[in-house]
Amino acid sequence: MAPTDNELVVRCLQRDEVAWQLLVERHSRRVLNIAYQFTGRRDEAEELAQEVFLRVFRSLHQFDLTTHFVPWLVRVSRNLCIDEHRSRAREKAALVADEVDPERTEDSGASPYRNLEEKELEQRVRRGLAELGEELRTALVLRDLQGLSYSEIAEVLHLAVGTVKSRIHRGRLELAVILSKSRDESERSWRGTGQVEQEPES
Amino acid sequence: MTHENFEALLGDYAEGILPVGQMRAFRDHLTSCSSCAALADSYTSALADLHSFPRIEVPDGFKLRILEKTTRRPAPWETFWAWLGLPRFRLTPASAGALLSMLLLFLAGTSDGKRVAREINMATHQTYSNALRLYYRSSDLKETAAAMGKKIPGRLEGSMDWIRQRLEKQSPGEPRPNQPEGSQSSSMTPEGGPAA
Ligand SMILES: [Zn+2]
Repeated sequence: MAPTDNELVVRCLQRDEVAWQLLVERHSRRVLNIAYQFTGRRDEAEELAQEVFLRVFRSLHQFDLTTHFVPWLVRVSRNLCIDEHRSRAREKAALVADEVDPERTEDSGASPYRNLEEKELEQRVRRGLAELGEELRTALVLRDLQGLSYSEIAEVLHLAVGTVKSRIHRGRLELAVILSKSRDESERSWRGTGQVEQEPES
Repeated sequence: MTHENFEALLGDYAEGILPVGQMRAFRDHLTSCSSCAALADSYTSALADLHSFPRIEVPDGFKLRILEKTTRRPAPWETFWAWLGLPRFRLTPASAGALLSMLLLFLAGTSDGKRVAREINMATHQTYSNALRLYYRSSDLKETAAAMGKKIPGRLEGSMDWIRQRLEKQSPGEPRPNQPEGSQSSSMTPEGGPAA
């Protein structure tokens, strides 16, 4: 049977390099995508994810072995991503994803779009999320973008599971209204003027 | 069922975890109330949008770069340069081989030089095969080691052969330098290294 994350952490603390390799392998995709949700750029996400693992490695001894590893990892990742973005004073910009402008999509750091539709979807979702309050947005992102369970989210945010569930539900309800409004608007602009461009939302 | 009840159950419905006992009343309201049907529609499509948000895959070498920054032990030749206090100069085994070959060439002209050359020749082989074996033991460096391992033996052998030929040409009476090449080379190939 595969060792649990906590077993791997114990082995890491005993300087078992193979255990650390396994932890990195197991969680690379998750950390990378948390970073990507902040940066909106593949190359920056990779850089940030590297930093996250470096921080995780250095603070493994601070991990409380009576808790679960994933929520701790997600918390460390998010904190570092938020810090980085605050220090670059562009957290808002990244969430709104004006970053993802058409000129940048051709370079190597571009987002992983398979088609134009996917690119538009990312922009729409980012704009929608940016309109939510921080509490609802955080809970929603952890659940529906990062795929954490309700109990894991409760651990990340130090909240009761019930509170988490209700925040996610409220977040989705609000986002549903925002997104259907933006869909209506873009349909109107298609029909009305024949333009492909989306109206920037305020 | 009221609109409020419907809204409260919408999340479980969208996630497919609405208990069967509540499903019928929920479905009845869904088909009879157009505003709740519209809400359910936008809720599920918002959820679908979130779930279709682009994900990135782990790029090649990502894990290796992390391990380099965290657990990686410097290769012997790297600590050697660091010890000399030189700037972060990465000496690859191939260029180290070339450097040593040049040194041997200088020595090859003198008779003492020939003896020294033989010693260095053997020591070089030993050092490299040991260094590579160390490399193989660290599984995170396997990729690097494999790439290097493919290049080194050939280049080193090439340089050594060339030097040996020169030495033999200069003094035909001199015995052939003793070379442990065959076994050493094969132990340096990637397939020969112990698995991680
Ligand atoms: Zn209703």
